[in-house]
Amino acid sequence: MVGHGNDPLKDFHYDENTLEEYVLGQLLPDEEDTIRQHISHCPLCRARVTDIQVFCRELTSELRSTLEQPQPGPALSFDHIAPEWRKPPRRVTLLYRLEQVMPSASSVFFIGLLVAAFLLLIPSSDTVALRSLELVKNYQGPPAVVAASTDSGLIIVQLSSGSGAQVIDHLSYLDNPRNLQISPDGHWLALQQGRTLHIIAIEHSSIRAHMRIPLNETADWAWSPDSQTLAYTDGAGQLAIFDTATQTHYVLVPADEHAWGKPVWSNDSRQIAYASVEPLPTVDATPSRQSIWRVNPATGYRVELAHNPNPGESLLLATAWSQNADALLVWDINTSTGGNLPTIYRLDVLAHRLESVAGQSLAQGNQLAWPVSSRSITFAVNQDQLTTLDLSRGTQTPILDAIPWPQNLAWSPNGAWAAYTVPGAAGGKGLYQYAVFEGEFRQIELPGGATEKAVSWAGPEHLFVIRQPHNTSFCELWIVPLTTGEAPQRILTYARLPQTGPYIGWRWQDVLAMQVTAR
Amino acid sequence: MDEISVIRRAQEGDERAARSLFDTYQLRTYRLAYGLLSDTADAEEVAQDALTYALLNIHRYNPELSSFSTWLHTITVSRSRDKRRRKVLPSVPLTQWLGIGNQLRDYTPGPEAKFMHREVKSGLTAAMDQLSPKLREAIVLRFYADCTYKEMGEIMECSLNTARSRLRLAIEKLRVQLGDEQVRWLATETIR
Repeated sequence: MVGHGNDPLKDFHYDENTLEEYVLGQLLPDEEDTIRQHISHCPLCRARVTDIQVFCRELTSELRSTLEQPQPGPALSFDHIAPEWRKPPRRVTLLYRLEQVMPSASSVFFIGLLVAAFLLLIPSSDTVALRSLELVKNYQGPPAVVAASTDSGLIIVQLSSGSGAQVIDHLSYLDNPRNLQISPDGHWLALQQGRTLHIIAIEHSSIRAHMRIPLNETADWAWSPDSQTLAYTDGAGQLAIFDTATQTHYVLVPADEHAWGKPVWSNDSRQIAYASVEPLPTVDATPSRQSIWRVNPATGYRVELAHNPNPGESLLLATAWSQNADALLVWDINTSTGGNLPTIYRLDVLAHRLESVAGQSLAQGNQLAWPVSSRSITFAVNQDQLTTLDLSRGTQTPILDAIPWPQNLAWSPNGAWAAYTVPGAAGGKGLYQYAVFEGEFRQIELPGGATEKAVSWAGPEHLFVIRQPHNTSFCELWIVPLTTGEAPQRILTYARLPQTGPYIGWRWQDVLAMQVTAR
Repeated sequence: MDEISVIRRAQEGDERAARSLFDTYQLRTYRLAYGLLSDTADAEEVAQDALTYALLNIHRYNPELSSFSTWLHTITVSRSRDKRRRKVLPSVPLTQWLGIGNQLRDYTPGPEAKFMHREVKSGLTAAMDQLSPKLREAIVLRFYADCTYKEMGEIMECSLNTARSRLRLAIEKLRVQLGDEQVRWLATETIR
């Protein structure tokens, strides 16, 4: 605002910028009114405003006229966009979609309420998975830990007499485990998934620790009878030790000594027998050298026990020690392939002598179906005659009783009884118990509808029995009391069936592991 | 159907709605680009480019933040700047090439208003070409697209005050450039 003379307020004029703003309509309404009043009686400002108005009007008119002369060519067309427009994904925001389906705040509230109710009332996948196992509600048997592979992952369950099965953990990411082995004290579980050995420490109601050790697919392992140590071959030639006290692992036999297969602990946990195969069976080449060794895990001292005389044809693996560690049961895994009964040997540990046994055994996967008892007794077939083989003495005795031949067999802790399943039996009629020294046997009847597949002892007076319901592709775990006269109980159902594979075979320990505990 | 509904349907993937938006805005976008670039081929390319981007990204448009035309103008101005930057040899406006702009102050009015009018347009075009790109944007947005200072600030990606300053400076430069013609406009205005 510019004034002059003695009365600047009466005779002033607005500056050019303010008048421009006025013409462009960019002033506040009050300012506009003031200027409008001013120019109504100030000819100079009015002339300026007119000047600017005309300029702006002309500018607008001329600009529009100039810009509206040329017309766009056919290149400017939606047809160029259309193909791109039709390609998925549709250009719609999630927020926009939500706005479409939830038009009002009340709807949002209502839908939120529904979601909350759904989350509260509908059980989680974990709960559904556990419910589908149909875990036993009133367990009558010795305290035990069970690990089961199911379609929804690995489930570890604790069983206590008089109460229901308590789920220790549900490890959904362990969806394809194999070779489940629980330590004899029930505190540790070892299993493999892919190329990782998982060692899980089990507490009363939770998992205490979880170690992961990388290894090859053909790895194998075994817990020491004192539960202190896990010995494992890593599939690449190493024999290593996992120490539960320190939770560390170290190499006992280096890879260039080609340790392979399952390590076999002596009963006193002081020796491990293992096979050495050069080159390893995983390499596509015929072994040129193969032998059985033993190693002291405390000192690492190791000694070769026997050579395989025909390394190109047979692959000899130790499977069990005699009670006093003076002999090893050895079998030829190569002869078991193709459904044949594998050849067995007795290895005299003190004399370093490999003796052929007149007879054969039965294999199930990569292990013998007929194990060695705590009294060094195992079963064999000699000229179509079922025999007992005393591993310590190297003597065989024919079984003259007309017992059905066993398929999967387990020895009682005292070595006096063998419990076994028989192939081809009707549902509920495939479980037998045999007193090997007395020559007595009896059939243990179970409820029908399922076939008995495998058995293991749950302490001295109970059996764990794996059964497969007819026309199904899953299995069940049962507890069978032998002395109390109580009815057998189903512990869980919908466990997976084991898969077969090279050097792995049909192993129940790939899907179920059971271990009686002290607690 | 109002524009908001058409935009919503286009956001849902309705091709007819997208085509309708294209038809509504293609001339305006082309002319805005032409006002900024003074080249019909460049304007056509920029308009197609801006409309393509706007429609294929229409899910990003939020009606609560700005009008669709402001959003589209922002894209067009941005693409025009890109186009100008990308041109290795900037096109010299024909008027400047022929030296018409230099003759502005020597202009003498003829007897026919129509003839005079056409010559003034040539003068305006030449004067516009003398402006810097940002001042030119301010003029085109204000006097062709009829934007407010706020919208100009959004489109030119500057503050409201900066937009105001640019426009004022552009007007000042144009008035100096046009010089006597302004007087004749006044005369024409008075005659009308």
